[in-house]
Amino acid sequence: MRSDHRVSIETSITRPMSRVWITHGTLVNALGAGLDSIEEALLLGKTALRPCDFPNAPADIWIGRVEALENRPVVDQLKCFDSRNNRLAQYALEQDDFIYSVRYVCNQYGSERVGIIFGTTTSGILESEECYRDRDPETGALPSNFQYQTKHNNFAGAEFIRQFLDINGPCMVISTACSSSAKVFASAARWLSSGACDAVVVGGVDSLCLTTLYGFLSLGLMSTSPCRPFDLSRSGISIGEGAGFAILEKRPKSVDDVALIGYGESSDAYHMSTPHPEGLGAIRAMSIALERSGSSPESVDYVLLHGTGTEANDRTEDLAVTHVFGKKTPCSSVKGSMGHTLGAAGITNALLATLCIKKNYLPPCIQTTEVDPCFTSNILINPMHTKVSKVMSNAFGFGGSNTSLLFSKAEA
Amino acid sequence: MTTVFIQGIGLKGPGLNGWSESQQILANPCLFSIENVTPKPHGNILPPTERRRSTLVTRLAVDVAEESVSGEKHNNLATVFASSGGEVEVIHKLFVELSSQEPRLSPTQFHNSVHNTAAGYWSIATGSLESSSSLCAFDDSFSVGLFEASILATEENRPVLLVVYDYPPAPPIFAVRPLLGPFAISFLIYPAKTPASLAKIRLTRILGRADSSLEHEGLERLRTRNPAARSLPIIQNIARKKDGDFFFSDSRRSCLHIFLECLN
Repeated sequence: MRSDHRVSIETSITRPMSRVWITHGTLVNALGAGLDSIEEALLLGKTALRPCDFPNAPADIWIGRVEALENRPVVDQLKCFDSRNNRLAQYALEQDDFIYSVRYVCNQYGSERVGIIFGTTTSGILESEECYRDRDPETGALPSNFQYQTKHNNFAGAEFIRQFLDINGPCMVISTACSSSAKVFASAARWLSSGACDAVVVGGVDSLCLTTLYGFLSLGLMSTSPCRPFDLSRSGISIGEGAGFAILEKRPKSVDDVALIGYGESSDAYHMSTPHPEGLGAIRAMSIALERSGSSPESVDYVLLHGTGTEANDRTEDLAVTHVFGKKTPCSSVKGSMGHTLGAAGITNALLATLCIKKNYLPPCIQTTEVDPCFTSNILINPMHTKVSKVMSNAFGFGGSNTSLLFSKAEA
Repeated sequence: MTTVFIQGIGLKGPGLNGWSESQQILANPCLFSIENVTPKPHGNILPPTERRRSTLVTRLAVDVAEESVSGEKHNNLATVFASSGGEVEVIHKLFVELSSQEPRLSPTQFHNSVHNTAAGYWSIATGSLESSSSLCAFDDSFSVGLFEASILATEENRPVLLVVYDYPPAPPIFAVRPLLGPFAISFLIYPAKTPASLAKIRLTRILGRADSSLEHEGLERLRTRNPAARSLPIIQNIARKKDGDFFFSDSRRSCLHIFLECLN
């Protein structure tokens, strides 16, 4: 019954887009630091999820924690920005020669022609949570180490990156829950095609904190074992932390560079924390991304799913993928290996999509042993080495915020 | 350079109860007092269940959104919401609960704490499946929101609803972030001129210049003490039907230059 379901959508006004190129990228999460180490761990089928050992956090859950962030303070000149979130941002910026590449584009175009679009949901609220515990018992006042602008505010990470990289173009934060750092690609594509910028540094960083750990627990969405996206016995998410950055430009810098050829953004208009039961918004986001790139569903080799591991999320994403692509296109979620990095999930998937294209490799759903028999899409539980030219990458979030990105090789 | 048209305006702030009622006050600021309170947000556009669950911050945002699109079809609009602090009241409540020995968060409060809460409620209220973004740029949230919404309108050739709002935070955070208000502004932005267009705005990025300010002391205080009120220089000119150049220094070395031409 489910697979026969057809949802009518209109995507009438979609304009084609000019492709933009990912000329550089960097990624850090529990699986590793830098694209090479994450690629190696993925190819080996590793998982970095572990029983929760985060201070003051709920017991009986699993997390994807980045090692030794506690010993990696931000640079001295920007000490007032020293939060776990900004540490994670700096850790990623220091990998993959990213800083060098940013300097190169700033020299090439002028730093005021380079923009920043940064996605986050947690910002540095871990430090605010600590300060709330240290409130004055009589007055309720926060301690003097509470840093509103440079740690707590959602813009703190963008300001940190702007100063760390000395970028002087327009700068903004997108915070749309778990689609945040997918949407940065859509906005960057528009900034580039409008001529507002010659290059845009996009990024996404979310770090472990009590608000998200206890928050998802309150919604009954936390798995007490490592998350198993699309498994028959899936029981929720495992939260991870992560950071990713990419440089987007109008022209490629190397023959290997992967292009963003389409994006689709939509809203569910259904519920704040439950996806539309028929996947209406997800279908719309994927369909618009295809339409904007002029691609047929058949031309897409692989879908990197949002795939969080909750009962409802995976069920509706399966419905939506089947609706758009049918039952053959391989698809999988990588969250079983590093956890759901929330505000960093969009760029994590985006950069892994470029890896799939460059390495002609499709990762399986790690941790998943038996795909839910109700599902009709082609969910991979074993890796595939095959020619990969075009990959769609999904990110869906609270508030019914959906974004799908379509990436392609130069010749595709 | 990007050129767009303002088709409708929504406003709520201290003594400013809607754009239609406030134009006279903005045009003659001697009628304005910073001591006035902001009318309590009602969130009447929300369905009863959503309204009951919604925060005052969200109601403030959807109130001004509703005013700027009055008479328009709601569900075909892309939206850009921008706020420095976002859902400040719920975030405070969550932090208080998290500082207890055995924290138990309310699921509704948790999903109401995301920065795109107002955008989510708006899309549910209007049934809009369109693209929606929620931005933050600290004190520059208005100009950055306008920049993003204008580029979205022109690049995708579609109407865009921009909503910029900020609520003063709860007491412990208020001590270091003493915002005035609440204040919220909304523009319905079109990529092309229509007979009903209120103003044409042209956005260019230029080398850094100081921010545009206001002559009236109370309005200027409000402008500097609520990120959404950075819109005041532009809307005062629209209220006075007077063209003008405005500068928003949103970066250390570059700024947003807005040329305003009033049309109606």
